[in-house]
Amino acid sequence: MSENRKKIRRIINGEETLPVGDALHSLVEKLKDDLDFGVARKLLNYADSKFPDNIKIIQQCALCTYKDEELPPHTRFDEALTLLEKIGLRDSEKAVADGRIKSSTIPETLGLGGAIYKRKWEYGGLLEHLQQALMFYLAAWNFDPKVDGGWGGVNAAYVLDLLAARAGIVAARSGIISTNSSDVIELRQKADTLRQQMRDILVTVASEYPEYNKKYWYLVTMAEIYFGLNEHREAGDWLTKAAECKADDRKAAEWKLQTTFKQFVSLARLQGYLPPIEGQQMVEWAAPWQALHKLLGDETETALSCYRGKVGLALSGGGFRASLYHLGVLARLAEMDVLRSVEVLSTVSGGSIVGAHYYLEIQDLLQNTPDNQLDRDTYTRLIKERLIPRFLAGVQCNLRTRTLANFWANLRMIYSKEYSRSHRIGELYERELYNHIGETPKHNRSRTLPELLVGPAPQHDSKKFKPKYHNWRRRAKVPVLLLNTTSLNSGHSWHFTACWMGEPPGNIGPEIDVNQRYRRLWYDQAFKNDHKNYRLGYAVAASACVPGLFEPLALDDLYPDHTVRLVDGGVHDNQGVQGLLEEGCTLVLCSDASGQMDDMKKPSNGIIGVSLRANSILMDRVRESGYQQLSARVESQSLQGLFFIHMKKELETMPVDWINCDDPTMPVSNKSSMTSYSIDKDIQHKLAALRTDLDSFSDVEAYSLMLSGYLMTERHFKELNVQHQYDKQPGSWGNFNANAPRGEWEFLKLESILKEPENSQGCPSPGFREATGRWVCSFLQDMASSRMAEGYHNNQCDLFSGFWNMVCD
Amino acid sequence: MIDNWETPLVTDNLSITVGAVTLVVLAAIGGLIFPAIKWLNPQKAVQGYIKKSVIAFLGFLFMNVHLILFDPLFIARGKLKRLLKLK
Repeated sequence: MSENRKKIRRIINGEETLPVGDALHSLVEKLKDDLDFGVARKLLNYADSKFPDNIKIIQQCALCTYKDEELPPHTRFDEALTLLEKIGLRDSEKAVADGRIKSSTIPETLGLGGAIYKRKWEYGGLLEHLQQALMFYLAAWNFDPKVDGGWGGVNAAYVLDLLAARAGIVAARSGIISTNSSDVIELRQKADTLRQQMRDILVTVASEYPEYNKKYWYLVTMAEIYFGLNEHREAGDWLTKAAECKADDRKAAEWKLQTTFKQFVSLARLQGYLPPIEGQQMVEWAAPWQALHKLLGDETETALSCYRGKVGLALSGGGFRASLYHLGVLARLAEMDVLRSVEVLSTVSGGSIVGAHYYLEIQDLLQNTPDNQLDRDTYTRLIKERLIPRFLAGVQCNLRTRTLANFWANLRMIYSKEYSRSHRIGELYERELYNHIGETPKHNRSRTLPELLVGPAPQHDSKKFKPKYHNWRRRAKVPVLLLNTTSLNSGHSWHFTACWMGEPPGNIGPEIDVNQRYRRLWYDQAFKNDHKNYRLGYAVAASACVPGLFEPLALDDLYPDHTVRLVDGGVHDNQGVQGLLEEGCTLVLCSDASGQMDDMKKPSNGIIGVSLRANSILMDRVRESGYQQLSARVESQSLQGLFFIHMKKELETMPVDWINCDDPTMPVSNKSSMTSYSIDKDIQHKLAALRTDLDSFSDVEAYSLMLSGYLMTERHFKELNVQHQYDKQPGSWGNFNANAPRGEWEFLKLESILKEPENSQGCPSPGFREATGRWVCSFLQDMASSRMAEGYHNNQCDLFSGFWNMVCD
Repeated sequence: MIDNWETPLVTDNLSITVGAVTLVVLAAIGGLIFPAIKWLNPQKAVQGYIKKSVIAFLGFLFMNVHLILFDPLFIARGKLKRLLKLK
């Protein structure tokens, strides 16, 4: 615990005197510089109880409340707004007229209101919140421009630009009017007029108060005004001054610099500028980037990778079927140079097994290779030469069967209450998959979660490197790994990361969910050594702990009188996208290979059959809701982009007509038997029906799944690009190269076979059928039928029957 | 007994040793536990251990048979090279 934290605890406990005036605010500033908003909030709440009429304390308290990520989003925004309402947020003029509030404090209160509503828009995607943010920012500026100092004004202009960009996309999509629609022109003109007004006023203010010319916030505000007005040369001059007067405290300067830089890049994006091509000389860059070079120097080029937003990748559940499909997705993402930009990796179940493997490979790579030596080819080679062969070799060990293949481990599972099949398979993940990674493979030694922290080369200091604060200067981002599980105690999502385990607050809305939240435990604060050094294999096993097949993974002595029991993350969110949203990702990539519910001509009438079917329907509904939520965010532009593929893409079905229907559904005349990603629809249907198990997958099964993921990714990026062009947006979607050349992949050898239409027997092709192996039918069919009874994933029974159709003619 | 009628029961040279106390405590505990033995069924417990061990062994046996015999055949059958030759 830091000294500051200890000090605050002593103050709140009454063991130390509460500092007042400048001393209090200086302490709060230190906490804010450390991004310890939660502790600062507690201190300010305490100070507010002692000095209830101190407006500065209330304003700071509101700021630290809405930025405190320990509180659920709705709670922190609402609490912050309630605090500001006490000091004239909604009735500023009346409050001043009554003499309740000093007029000089009003602009900051209104500006904070704007910031909270902007944050609400980022989290919820409601356009109304963005409009409210605009109103508050404008009100802050208009109330008293000199006191506002341009903070409310520049943000109002930025929101106007955001709204103009959105209006431009809507206009382009309608196809009726051009992008220069009256709405777009009007909003942009408003933004420009506001900036011009600010430029004139703030220059005058600085002439009255010369000390402003040495203040960082004033200099970057002036720079942003010129930047927004497309006067990049002048903006560059102001940024030069800002760079010279960066705060003395390096840490404080770092996050302020990051925020400033990202806002400028976002503005340039809205203005239609594309970032420089990698390796391009600075003199050839567009004017905005040359201006930003004045602020950041040689690191500008790598930092400009924030142009595409914060990229998050979600790998869904679905057993090894999903893992193998994700490998194909990763292969194509590597070729298009997407993987270098991924900052958050959120994984579920089968996605966690492969996601953890990929993360360890990346950790090894980043720790041994400096950022400037990492390129697209490095990532492609990593997937091709290391990840795919090693993972496939691990899969072909048949981990599920191996769980019971050791006599002594079997005895231990039977007799020990603290050792279950979940623990056993977790150890097998380590032994067969993860221990082989690295220059000196760690045979017989398990990795712990704290060991997942990355210390990128050349510094190698994993304790000092914080992806959230240091990634922005890198081109090859250090990803944050979120292993998703579900808590049986609360029904919430439980995450394992390299720093903590527990339930993140972002999942919980207090209005409809009143269950307890099991607060996140930072490993260094754990009471038990086992929790301090929790094994990666166990965390992955918990994430892939299919209810019914594996026992829930228990965590004792973590919370008083509670035993936490964890099951498959797919129970809560099988796609893993919630984790990405909580981490603030704005460009979401989701590879969904989860088992989707199939149609049934005659659903079961039995107790078990109906229960399983009801479970499938619920899971399908959750999946659809998750997708709708993401789509809504894209529409409102709180997400910059969404890539979402799933295994039944383009496998649409026809409605069913009743018997003797006099108005039958007309078959689509030009319906193709081939998907747009060049796989025969029947074959893709059968791939989507493969088992979601953790047993062996043959080369043919594995490579078919990889190919499906690869081709679908390739195709979907091209589709997104077409939409991007249609929306009249500059460059390509996410600024990625969707047409990147293909490499030589083993699975591409199957491409021509997967294009072949199925024969009359319902099999992909004679060769495919033969290679999959008819002789295994009877044996595996027995295995399948025994597992059907305990099947959990929504349509495991269907998946097995689909598999039998494929392998048994 | 009649001869010693006048002899006091507790004499000055009576000593309470650790061994004696232990014996008394053990005897007391034994007196409480031994009657409960009739509810225990050692035969059943041993049968339980044997059954569980057999289950563990059968699991070990079947899974190894599967891993040693069937899995390699399944993997060999599904080799990509083999499929491409068949085609």
